[in-house]
Amino acid sequence: MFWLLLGIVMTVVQLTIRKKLQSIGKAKLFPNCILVLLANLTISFSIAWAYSSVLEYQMKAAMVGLLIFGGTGLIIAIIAYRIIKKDTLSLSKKEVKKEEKEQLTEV
Amino acid sequence: MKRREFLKKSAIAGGAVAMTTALTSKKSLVEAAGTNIGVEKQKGKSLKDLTEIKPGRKPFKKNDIVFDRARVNKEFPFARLWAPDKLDNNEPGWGHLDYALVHGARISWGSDFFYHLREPKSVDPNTPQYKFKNPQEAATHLKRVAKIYKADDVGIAPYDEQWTYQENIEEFEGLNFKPKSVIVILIKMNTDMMYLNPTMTGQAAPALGYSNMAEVGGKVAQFLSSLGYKSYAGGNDWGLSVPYAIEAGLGEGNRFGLLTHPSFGSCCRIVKVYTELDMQRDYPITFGVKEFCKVCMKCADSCPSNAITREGESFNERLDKSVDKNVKKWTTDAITCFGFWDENRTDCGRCIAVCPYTKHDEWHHQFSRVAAGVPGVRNVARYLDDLFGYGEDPTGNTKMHNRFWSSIDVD
Repeated sequence: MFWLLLGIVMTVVQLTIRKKLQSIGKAKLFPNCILVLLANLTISFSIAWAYSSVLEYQMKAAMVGLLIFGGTGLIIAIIAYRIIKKDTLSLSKKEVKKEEKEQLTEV
Repeated sequence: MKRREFLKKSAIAGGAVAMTTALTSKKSLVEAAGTNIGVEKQKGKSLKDLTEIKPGRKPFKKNDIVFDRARVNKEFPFARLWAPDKLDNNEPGWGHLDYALVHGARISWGSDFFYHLREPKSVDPNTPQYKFKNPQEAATHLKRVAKIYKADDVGIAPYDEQWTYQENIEEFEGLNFKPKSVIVILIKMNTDMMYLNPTMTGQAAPALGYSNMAEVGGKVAQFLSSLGYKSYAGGNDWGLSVPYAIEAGLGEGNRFGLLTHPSFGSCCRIVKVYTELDMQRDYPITFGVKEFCKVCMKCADSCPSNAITREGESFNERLDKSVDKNVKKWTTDAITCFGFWDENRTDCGRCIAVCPYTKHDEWHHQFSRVAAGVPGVRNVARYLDDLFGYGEDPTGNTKMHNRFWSSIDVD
């Protein structure tokens, strides 16, 4: 049951983020979607690792797993967010420059 | 719907169907893949191709093994295993309940199986001998039967006098028994119990293992005898279990001289059934144990008697006659190790408990096993094993003992 739920959550998260990226026109395969997928997989891996360790009563292994794998996933997610944001800001700046140019041309 | 959209959705749907089929099929592909990833079959090879054996090596003498030197030859005292003089109800793992746990666990074993071949019950002499189509069919069927009888893994090795004790070769001749194959059966020990070694509680793991060995080995030998093939089951006695297990493709040899299996690690016992039935043999496997043991050293660091070598593989010339000096390998100093058994009143097993390969057969440990095969990762794997809390010392560790007992569900 846990694995089914984890798979569903992973898929829903991935599709939701992809839809959001598509709506802002940022659904580039590389690096945006790949980074988001990597972050999703790593965080899911850390949750699965923790679950399996808890089943074995290895609490320290579960906590360290969440720290190392979950932490890595979080870092990848932050990098993905910053790249997408920078991309959006750069595009906004380009659009502003384009508008200014058009205004100057009109004038 | 555009063509691109259609292809994308079909691929996703197809992948989902394939995944569901894989996960719900009789033998899960994920399960099978997990156990076999990174395991290489050395087809056509045998142990002599994987290590150096001095030419002209004679079979090892049973008289030289440390147990017989103590028990039979009285060269030194036999270890006072599971004696009650160290009992202490205030010390976790050393109480009266733990002592009783060990003695109950070894009831089916008995010294008669440990030291002698288990003689099958007599079969009606009118029973015809069953003929298999070919050695492959015989091997496949035998393995299935062994699994029905609760063997955790099974392989077939050719009978080799080289791995049989000298005295027992003569005994086989006396029985007019000419074995052709050796069915090597692995009995998995309770991993959580094994982690509690070298306390008395931890001893129940090998004790239970020995009892199961007697049962499963005896059943397989009886099955073969009922088919009309002379067969005998043997425990530690009669031959060197580790080389036979390697020849049967059940694992690799490790730093402390035992077998490491891809799923069970070192947490398993080996029982052998010698038979005159000719069967298709299995071949040795490799999955990075040798390379990992070169850098790990966790067993050597944890050994209470410092009996495990930290050096490279060698012919162990410095050690005494209880160690085979004609096969290049790692080994323990048998006398030093045995001395600790007596001091501790248990057969220790700390090396097995701390070995990073000794884990539950779960996906995340299979993942770690495969990852540890990667050269860079291998060097840090031992430290990660420590960081994740594996190989905890059970001595005086009430929390660890309580955790073990509460993990056994009784409702």
